[in-house]
Amino acid sequence: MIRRALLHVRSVLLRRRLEREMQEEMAEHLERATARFMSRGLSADDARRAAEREFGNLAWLQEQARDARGTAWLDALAGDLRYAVRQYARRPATTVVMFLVLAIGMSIATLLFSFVHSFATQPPPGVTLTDDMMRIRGSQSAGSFGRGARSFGEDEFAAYGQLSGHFAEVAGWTAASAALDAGPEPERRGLEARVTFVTDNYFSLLGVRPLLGAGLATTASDDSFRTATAVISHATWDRLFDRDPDIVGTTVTLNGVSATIAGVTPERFLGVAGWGDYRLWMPLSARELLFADGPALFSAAGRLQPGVTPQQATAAAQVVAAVHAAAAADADRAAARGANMPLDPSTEVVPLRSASGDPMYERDVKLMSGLVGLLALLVLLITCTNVSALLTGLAAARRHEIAVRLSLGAARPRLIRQLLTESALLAFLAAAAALGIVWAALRTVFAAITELPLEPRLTLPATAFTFGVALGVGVLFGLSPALHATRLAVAGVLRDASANVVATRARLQRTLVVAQIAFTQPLIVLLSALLLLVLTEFQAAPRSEYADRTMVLSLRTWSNSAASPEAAAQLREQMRNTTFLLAERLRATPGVVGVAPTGYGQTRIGGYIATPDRPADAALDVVRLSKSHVHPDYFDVMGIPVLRGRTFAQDEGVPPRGTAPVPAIIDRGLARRMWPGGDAIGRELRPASDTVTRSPTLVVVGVVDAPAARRQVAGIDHFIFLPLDTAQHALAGSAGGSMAPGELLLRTALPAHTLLPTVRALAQAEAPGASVTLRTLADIADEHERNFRLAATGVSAAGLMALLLAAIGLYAVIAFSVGQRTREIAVRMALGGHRPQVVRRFVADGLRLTAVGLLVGLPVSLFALRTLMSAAGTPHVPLPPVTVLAGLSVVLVAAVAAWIPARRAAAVDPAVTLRSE
Amino acid sequence: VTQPKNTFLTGTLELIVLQLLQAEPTNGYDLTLRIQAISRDVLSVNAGSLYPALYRLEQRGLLKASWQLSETGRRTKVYAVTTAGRRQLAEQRESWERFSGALEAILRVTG
Repeated sequence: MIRRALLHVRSVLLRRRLEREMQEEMAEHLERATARFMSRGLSADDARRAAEREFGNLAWLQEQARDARGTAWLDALAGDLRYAVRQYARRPATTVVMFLVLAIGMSIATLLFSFVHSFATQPPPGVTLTDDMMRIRGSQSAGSFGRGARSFGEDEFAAYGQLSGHFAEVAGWTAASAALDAGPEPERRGLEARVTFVTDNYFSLLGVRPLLGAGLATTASDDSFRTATAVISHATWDRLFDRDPDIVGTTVTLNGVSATIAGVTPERFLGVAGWGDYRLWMPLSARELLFADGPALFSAAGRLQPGVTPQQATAAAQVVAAVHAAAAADADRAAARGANMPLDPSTEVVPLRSASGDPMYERDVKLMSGLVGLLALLVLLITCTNVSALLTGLAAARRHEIAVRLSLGAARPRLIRQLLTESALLAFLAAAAALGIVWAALRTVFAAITELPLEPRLTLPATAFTFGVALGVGVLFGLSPALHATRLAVAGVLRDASANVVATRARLQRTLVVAQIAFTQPLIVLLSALLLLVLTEFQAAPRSEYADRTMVLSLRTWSNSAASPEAAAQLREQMRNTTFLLAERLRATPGVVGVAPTGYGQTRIGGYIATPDRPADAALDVVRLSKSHVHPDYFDVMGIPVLRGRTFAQDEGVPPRGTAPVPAIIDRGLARRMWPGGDAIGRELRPASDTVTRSPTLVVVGVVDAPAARRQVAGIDHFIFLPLDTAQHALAGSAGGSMAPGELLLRTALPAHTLLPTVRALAQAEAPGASVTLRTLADIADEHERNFRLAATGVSAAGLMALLLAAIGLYAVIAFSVGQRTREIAVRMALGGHRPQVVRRFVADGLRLTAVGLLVGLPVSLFALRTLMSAAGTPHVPLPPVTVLAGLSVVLVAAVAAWIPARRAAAVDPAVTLRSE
Repeated sequence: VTQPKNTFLTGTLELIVLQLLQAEPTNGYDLTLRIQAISRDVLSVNAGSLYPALYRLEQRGLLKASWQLSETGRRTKVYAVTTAGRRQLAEQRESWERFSGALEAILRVTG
C-alpha cells in the first residue's frame, strides 16, 4: 500500500521526466519497427508509415499511458487553472469585487472563530500547555447565577496534593493585594500591588522560565527574619523599573517587608488568573511575613498521572471536596458560628485554559460558540449569496461560450469541473488573503494590548476552518451557477432566442436579490443600533472647568484584611479617622482650595414622582436617575454652583428610615422637568413605586447646575444628591449614604499635577503602609474618552466593513439582474422608449424587489434588535429611527445599483446591443 | 479516430507480459516481437495495448523499469518483474490453470 502510494507520488512529482521517458521509449519503438520494415525492402518513407500504422494513434496512446500512470487529472487541473486565470483576467473588475467580498467575509468569520477557539483551547498567556495540565477548580452554588468559584482551605488543598494516584504533581497559589514601595520617590511608593504566593513547583508546572534571574527561592526558616524573594511581572519591570537589566538582586518593600527581586517573568505571562497593574510572585512561605492574619485560601492546578482522565480525577476530587465540606460543617457547628458555609461545594478537574477557573466556563464556551457561530454564519451567508450572485451572472454571461463547448462534444461533468475549478481557485486565493488579514490583525491589535488575559491566535484549526469554508464556498456556491449554466439547451442558446432560459435566470436573480436584502437588513440594523448605543452611552463627558484642578485620592491598607468582623470594623474606624486627619492636613496645605470626603459613588435608582403637585407621570418612569451621597463641601470642590436653596449643613445626615423626608439637592434639569415654571425648593419627591424601590421620600433643599457631573455614569438623565453620613462607617447597616473610608476629593488652586507629590507625601505620612492612588478628574475623563474612542472605532470599523460587504453584494446582485436585461432595455429603446422613462422603470423594479426583501427581513431585524437591547439593558435606543435608517441605506444602495447599469444599457445604441447579444 | 482493438482480455495480457518478462527482462518493442514469435503470430499485441499495460503494471509496483544500453548501443527502457510481480504472476497462473482446466473438462465431457 505504502509502496503504491510512493509510486503515485513519484509519478506526480516526476511527471515531466516520466513524460519525456515515455516519448523517448515510443520513439525508439517506432524507429526499430521502421528499421524492420526497411529490412523487408520497403522505402524509408513507406517503412515509417507502416511502422506508424502498426503502432496506432500515438497521441491517443500517450493519453492512455498517462491515464495508466494516474496523472492525467493533474494535467487536466493545470489546464483548468490556466483557463480559470484567463477567464478572470478578462473580467478584472468583477473578479476583484468577488475576491474582496470573499476575503472580507472569510476574515471576519476566521477572526470570530479564532476568538472562540482560542477561548476554548488556549492556556493562560505565557503558559506552555501540555495535555495533562489541569485546573483543579472549586465551585459552589451561586443561586440563580449558576455556580461560582470557591477557593480551598489549606487542608483541602493539601488533600489534593496527596491524590498521587491521579496527579503527578499539584501546584497552588493564593493572591492578595499589598502596598508596594519600589523606591524612595513619592510616586514609586504606596502602590497597590497584586502578590501571588505560590508553591515551589508553580513555575515549573506551568512551564514558565523567568526572562531574567533564577526565579523564586524558598525562604529558609533560619534565614534572617524579614526577607523574602519575589519575581515581578514584565509589565511591573517595564513600568516601575524602566526595564533595568540589573534589576535582579535589588529590593522592594511590600507591606513594610523587604523582598529581593529574583526574576522577571516573560512578557505575556500574567499568572493563571488575576488582575492588577503591578504583579509579583512570592514563595508561599513569605505570606506570613506580609500578612499576619487569617488562613490562606488556595487555587490549584495539577498535572495528571499518565493514563488518568480528567473525569477520573474529578471523581477523586469530588470525594475530597465532600469530606472537607462535612468536616468544615462540623467545625462550624462546634464553634456555634452562623452558617457561612459554601452551598453545595464541589471540585472539578478541567483542562487548564485562560478562563477555565470559572465554574461557568464550559457554559460560556458553549454560549460563545453558539452566538459567534451564528454571527459568522450570517456573515458567510451574505458572502456566499454575494459571490453566488456574481458567479451566476458570470456563468450566465458565458452561456454562449459554454454552449459552443457543449456542442463540440465537451462532457457536462467536464464543464462543471471547469466552472468549479474557477470558483474554488478564487475561494482559495481569498482564503489565503483572509488568513493574512487575520494574522496581521491578531499581531498588531492584540500585541498592542499587553495585558489581555486571553491570547487569541491563528491556530491550525482556524486555518483549517478557513480553507474548509473556502472549499465549501468554492464548491457549493460554484455548483449552482455551474449547473445552471450547463443545463441550457444548446440549440436555443446558439440561436439566442431562448425566452425560457431568460425567464428562469431572471427568477433566480430575483430570489437572490430578495435573499440578499433579507440577510443584509438585520446586520445593518444591528450594527447601527450598536453604534448608536456606543455613541449615546459613552458620550465624552463635558469637562468641568476644574477637571485638571480636582483630584481623587484613595488610601488602602491591605494587611490584616479580614481577621474577624470586629477587627475589620475597627480597621474601618481607624481609616475613617485617618481620612479626617488627612483632610484637615490637606485643607491647611497651601494651594489646596477644598477637600471633601466622598461616598460610594453614584447608583442608579428607580423613578420619582413629584407630589402632591403632579400625578404619576408615565414619561418620568423612563427618566434615568442617579443618586449619590455627598459631603457639604462637594459642590464647592467640584465647582458646581448652587442655583437655588442651600447645600447640606455640616452635620446634616440621612434621618432614620421613615421618620422624616431626606433632604435632597437636585439638578436644574430635573427641577424644570418636575415643576416647570415653579420653584422646586421645599417640594417633595416620592418614589414612583414604593413596594419595589423602598426609597425614602425626599424634600428638595437646593437646586444645582450639574453639567460637570453629568455622564459620569453611562446613560443618566438627572442627578439627585443626598447627604453623606460621615458618622457611620461603611457597610454597618446605616440608613444609607455612609462614607467611603480612605476616599477624598480635593481641589487645588493650580493644575493638580504640580501638587501631586506634596499630596502623596502627606498621605503617606498620615497612613504609613497604605497604598495611595491619586488621579485628577482630567485623568479619569481622559481614560473615559480613550475607552470611548476605542469602542467607537472598533464598532465603526466592524460596522463599516459589514456595510461595505453588504453594499458590494447588494450592488452586484442588482446590477447583474439589471445587466442581464440589457437586451430588454435595448428593445424598449428601439421601440422608441424615452430614456429617462426606461431607466426609471428599471430602478422602480429594483426598488420593488428591495421592498420585498426588507419586509422578509423585518421580523429578523426586530427580533435581533430586541435581543440586543435587552442584553444591553437599555430601552433607550430609538428603535423605529434605526430600522428606518437601515432600510433607507439599503434602498439607497439598491437604487444606485439599479440606476447605473440601466443608464449604461440605455445609453448604448440599441442596434449594437441587439447585435452583440 | 482509430482505436486499437483488444484481441484478448486485458487480464490475459498482464499474465503474458509478466510471464515473458519473468523469463527474461526486455524492452517494449522486443516484447511485442516475442509475443508474436512465441504464439506463432496467433497473438498480435500492438503498442496501443502493450504500453498502457506496462505502465499500469509499473504503477502497481509489479514491474520495475530501468534504462540500459542495448547491443546496438542505444538507450532502451528494460522492464523486469519485481517480487510483488512474481507473487501476482503465480496467483494469476494458478487461476488461469483452474479456469482452462475447467473449460477443457467442459469441452471434453460435452464434446
